[in-house]
Amino acid sequence: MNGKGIKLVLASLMVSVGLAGCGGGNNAPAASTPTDSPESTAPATNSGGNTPEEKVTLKFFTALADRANGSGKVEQDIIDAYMKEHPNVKIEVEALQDEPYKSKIKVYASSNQLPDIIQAWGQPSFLSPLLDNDLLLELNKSDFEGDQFVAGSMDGFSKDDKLYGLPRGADYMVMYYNKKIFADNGIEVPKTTAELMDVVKKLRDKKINPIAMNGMDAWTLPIWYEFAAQRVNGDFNKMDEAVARKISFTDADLVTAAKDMKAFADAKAFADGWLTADYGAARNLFGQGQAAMFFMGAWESGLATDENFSEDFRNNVGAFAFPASDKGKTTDVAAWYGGGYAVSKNSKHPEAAVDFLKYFFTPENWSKLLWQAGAGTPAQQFDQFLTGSETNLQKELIDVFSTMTSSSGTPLQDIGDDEFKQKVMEAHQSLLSDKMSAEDFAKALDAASDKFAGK
Amino acid sequence: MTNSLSPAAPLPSTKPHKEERRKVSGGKILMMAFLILIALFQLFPLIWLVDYSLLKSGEFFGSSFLKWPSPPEWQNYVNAFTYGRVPRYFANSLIITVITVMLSALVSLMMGYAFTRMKWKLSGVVLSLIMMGMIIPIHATLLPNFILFNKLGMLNNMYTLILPYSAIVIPMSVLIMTGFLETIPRAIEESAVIDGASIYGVIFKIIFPITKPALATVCVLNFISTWNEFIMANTFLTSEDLKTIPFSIMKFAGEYSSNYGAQFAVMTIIAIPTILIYLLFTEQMTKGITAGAVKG
Amino acid sequence: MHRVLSDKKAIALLIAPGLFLFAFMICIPIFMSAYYGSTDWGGIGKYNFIGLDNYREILFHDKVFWTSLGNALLLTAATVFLQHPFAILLAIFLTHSGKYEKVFRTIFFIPAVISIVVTAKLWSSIFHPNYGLLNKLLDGIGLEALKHDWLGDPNTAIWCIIIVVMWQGFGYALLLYYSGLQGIPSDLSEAAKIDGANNFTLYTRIIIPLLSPMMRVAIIIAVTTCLKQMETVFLMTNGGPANSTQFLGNYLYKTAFSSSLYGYGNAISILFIIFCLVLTVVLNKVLKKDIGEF
Repeated sequence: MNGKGIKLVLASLMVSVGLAGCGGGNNAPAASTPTDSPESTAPATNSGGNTPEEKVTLKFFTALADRANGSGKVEQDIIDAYMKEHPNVKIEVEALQDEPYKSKIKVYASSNQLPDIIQAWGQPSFLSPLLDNDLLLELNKSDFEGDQFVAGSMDGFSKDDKLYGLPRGADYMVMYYNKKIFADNGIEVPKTTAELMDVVKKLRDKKINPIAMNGMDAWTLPIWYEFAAQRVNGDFNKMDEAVARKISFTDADLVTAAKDMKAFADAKAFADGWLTADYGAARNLFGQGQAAMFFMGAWESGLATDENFSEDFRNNVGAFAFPASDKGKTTDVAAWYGGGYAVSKNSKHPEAAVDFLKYFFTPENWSKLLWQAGAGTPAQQFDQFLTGSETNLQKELIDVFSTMTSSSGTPLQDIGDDEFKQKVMEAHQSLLSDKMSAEDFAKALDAASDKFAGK
Repeated sequence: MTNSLSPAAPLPSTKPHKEERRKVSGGKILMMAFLILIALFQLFPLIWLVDYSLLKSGEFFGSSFLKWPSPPEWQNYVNAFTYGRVPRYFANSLIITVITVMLSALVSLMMGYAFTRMKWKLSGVVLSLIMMGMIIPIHATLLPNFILFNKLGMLNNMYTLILPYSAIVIPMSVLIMTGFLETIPRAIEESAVIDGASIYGVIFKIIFPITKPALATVCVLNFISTWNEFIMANTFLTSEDLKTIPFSIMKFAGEYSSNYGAQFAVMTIIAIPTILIYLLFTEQMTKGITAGAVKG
Repeated sequence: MHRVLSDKKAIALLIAPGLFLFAFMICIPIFMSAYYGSTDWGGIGKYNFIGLDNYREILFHDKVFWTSLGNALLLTAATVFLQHPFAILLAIFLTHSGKYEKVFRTIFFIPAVISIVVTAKLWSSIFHPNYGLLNKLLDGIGLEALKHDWLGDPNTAIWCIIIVVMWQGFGYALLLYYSGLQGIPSDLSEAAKIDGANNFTLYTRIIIPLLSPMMRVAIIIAVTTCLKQMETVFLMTNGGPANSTQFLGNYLYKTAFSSSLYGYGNAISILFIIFCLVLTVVLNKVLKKDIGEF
């Protein structure tokens, strides 16, 4: 995990170089990199030797639920383009939000009904059960060699040096904010956690919801905790050591972190109703201008282009890195290679599925389209696709990404199995809804880790 | 004792009331006001639903709770129909619901007859077993049913939903049917048997027409519960081509998470058929629920 | 006649389809649950038999299980002691509302026919801390101090759920009592009136006692549906915050599908079923004794 974190930093440095090189020249589409093929207009064709007569139906199950906006739209566009180029292939898409997706994938897995291509997370909590039961197809690394995946990004999808999935994006958590609300209330972007606390109090005084949070899904909470812990001792690794049972969660630093996090909840930093808000609800709250900030991953860069929200909002949405402390800097970011795809071992058409993934990950397709749609940060090098006409939000996000100096790796809740995950998330809900003290919280996390370690 | 309460004939719906002769008192006005208040309380969701389905997404967060849509955002319905595959889901729901309703009506008629008229040793035992089904939480069968269908290779066709749906409604349907059948005099059947009719002739030619009101109740109740069921639909169905309409809400909540207007349009589309069916068959429902309950 | 009615083949043919369906979809799954309930199955792959370990864990160590059960009982109690008296009162009013009787009756039942997906969304919006009708109402009448994050506070969330469930199920309860009232012979009340009884004594002394068989039915129906409650919770809070609104149906779903503890989830199912059966049987006995005979 540490290794992954470091590699992620390397990758981000590469991007920053790319940005610098592109910074001056503005609107020209950056099409020339040494490895790139000249064809740059149409989505690139990369099909294998499918006989056109054979009718193939591929089931495609994804957690990019919103098909009309952001990365979900990009994904859908590529699927549509593929089907157009391969009239014999029909791709049936099923899309659900993260948590329902993860429940449903278990249903599929337990009944050996895994769709041909599934969204996968390069994290033990998701991947291990599937791999332990031999449900995923081993992919051939050489098939994707030309796709410029960032070094280290495939690690989470690999086991015993075999590749089982491909990462779609680099995920990192930021704080989105509404510049207009900030400006109207004379608030500056907070540089430190103490300043963030002041911002929260100021907003509350003006009866504005500070931070939209999807507390019902709850998976953002442990990521906040990762930040809090890093800001206490300047190191993301302590949390991983605790899960590995080298130290206890009752460690003074970790308890302090829990208290710091709780202090925000006690100051009502999270938007009213956050405990019953799911992803969509939290996102809407922010998008409709009803909360000043939104704690979410960089994949939400599509906020700046989502037509469901007012133009006013779209022009005013920005992002900043989680504020610093005396120990942790803003360049220490909770980041990991998360979502991607895997192919079911029981697929009736494994070649077709792999062929689609090859097409999908051709740099001209996913990484270019995703970046240029402003919908996320690909896990492939994309510096050649910088256009200079990125939205402000995209620029601010890439700032966070490119200046990153250390990263958390897999978020706390995803290190263990599902039971561990549920317990961790519930402990966070209890702590932050004031049903549990920081000490009891530490004990709950210890118990969850013990149980996981004992398996 | 309980049986004596069961009305021999279907409930008279227009019973002349004594009160009409008395003059309108203050108490009565108060009572009517109270009834109207409760009626508004119960009707509110419908008004709210339709109202919001005609608003733009941004307006949902406004300060007033009901808002006059000006102009009405019909586009929400267009979106619901075009993006959400609503027509497809609607058709699926209709097929699954109609088959379930017919199947359960037939089964409950046959069982109801066997339980109330036929003489067999295990009658009481089997009836109690079926009645126990009313108590069993269906969610407890969710998981094993899934495994069962999977082992039998039956996942991903309509029967995956039709069979459990039909099974779940059997207890209540049988209860209503037996309750109703016991109020029917046996003389007609007896003369038919003397005339040489077979048992099936009796059931389908004589009993069926007589029990139509109870069957209507069974059908309406089952229609409503089947149409609205979503946890099984969400768990069992995997193929996009088979999904039912409550699922489209889940789908919409995800896929069009920021388009509240379209979500509400879909919800309205879901709500309309059940309300229509209910309004058409209000009387049958009332009678049926009563007939079943009184006996139980 | 007798011979026709004891025709074994005919009986078998009439009963078989329904019974088969019932056994196949309800009984067999329960046996399967019992089987998986004694394993440590995680949903996919191999599993071990662990005997009664799951049950022991649930009964002696699982606080959430007991919270869920407690919530179910609380909901049941609220339904019986709040919703039912109200339903009886309204049913009485209904019989006196003259020509509007049918209109009211129809309207009162409407929430019961609307999909829970819709009603859950509606009520979530009503309880919403910022835009919800409830808080706006409190604001409007100057009770700003009472404004609250209704679903976010563990102390109020469970009551919100209870109110929603009672509201939606109200039509059924009302209908039962209404038809109970219809079944009471009208000459009884006329006789009482001739004896000089006023409306109040008429209802408290004569009509309501006569309703008791219907009460028994209504209460048993209420108990079974309350125990089985899942959808509203699933959609409104998913058991949160921190399991304070957890119900057994939702808990077993979550255990199986979110925590991947299929074996454990199945064990919860079995205990859930046993509990429902026992409570219903006991209730049936008790109520029969109490109000059945008169």
